[in-house]
Amino acid sequence: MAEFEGLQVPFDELQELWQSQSSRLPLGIDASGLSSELRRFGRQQTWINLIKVAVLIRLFWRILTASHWAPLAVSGLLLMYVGLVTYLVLDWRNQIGLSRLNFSAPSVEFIRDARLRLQHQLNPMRRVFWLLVVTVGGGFNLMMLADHGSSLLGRISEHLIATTLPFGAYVLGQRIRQFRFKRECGAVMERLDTLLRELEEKSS
Amino acid sequence: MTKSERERLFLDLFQNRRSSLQRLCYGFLGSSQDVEDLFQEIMTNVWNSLPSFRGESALNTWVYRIAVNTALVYRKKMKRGEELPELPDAGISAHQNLEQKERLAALRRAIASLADQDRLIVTLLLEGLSYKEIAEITGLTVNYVGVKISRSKQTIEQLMTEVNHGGI
Repeated sequence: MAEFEGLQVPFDELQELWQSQSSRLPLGIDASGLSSELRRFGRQQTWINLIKVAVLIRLFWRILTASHWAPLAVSGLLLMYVGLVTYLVLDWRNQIGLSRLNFSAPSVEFIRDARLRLQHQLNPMRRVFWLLVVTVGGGFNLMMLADHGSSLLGRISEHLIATTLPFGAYVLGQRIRQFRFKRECGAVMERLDTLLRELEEKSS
Repeated sequence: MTKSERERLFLDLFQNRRSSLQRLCYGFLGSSQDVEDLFQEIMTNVWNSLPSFRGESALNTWVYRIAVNTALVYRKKMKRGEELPELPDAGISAHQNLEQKERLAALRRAIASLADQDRLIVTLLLEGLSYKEIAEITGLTVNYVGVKISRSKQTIEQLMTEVNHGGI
């Protein structure tokens, strides 16, 4: 067995010494309890997502009945839901992706992947921005068209609101997300950056 | 992988690797409270990763990869440079001599002085893993692992020599 060069203690002795710290560490973990906790965690995530879906379905039904099945309102609602469902699915997928990092990959690969997935959290809608704006804004406008009760000026302002609302919601959502990202993920991101920089500089 | 296979493998891993993973956590963190937290996180990740285990790498390498990656992204509570808490009789029996106790304490301090990644690499080496295995776990080249170990050994040597001469 190798030794620490120049070190007075042979390395195998250090190994033996190190490994002598057997299972006396103050840990009271019971494996069966731990695995049931893990299963509970998985179920919890599924429940949260199912609740979101249930809320969307309920809302859909309420708006549909309130609109008395007017064709324009129904089309608008459907169009809006294309955008909302896309948003939910993408966000859900991103969250799952982040919570299912491949921890069994070699560290360099793992850190690169973790950093990339974390960065996706900052703006998960970047690729589908226009799809969201067109579907939600378009759908909202169609629903407004179905409402014939207002004056011309009132209707113009309703359509203006319906058109600008998705942009406003997006900007606001992004600001909230960036704030949360900085607060919740800033330290981890910085740590990953440092680790990656160190790995890439020295291993290349 | 069926549910029962997953549970059986998890329990096997838990029973057989518990001590070595705990030592890895301790080598990385130093704090006994954090060791428990990190160990639980590692086991959580092992459980979550089990369905994707295809046997492409050895089980030992696979488990250590999870442990090392979990440790790297773990947000520890202890700040660097903080005094290491004394472990309550961590494996040193009453009949072992004072010199050995001091040597282990010095080794722990020396490991704690290393950078995050180096602490993990040295701990893996102390667990008896080869350079090649460490390279497979970390994704670094074998040569670079050698360089890192050589540097870490120098630091440890220096610190332990200082202890021998009453420097610490």
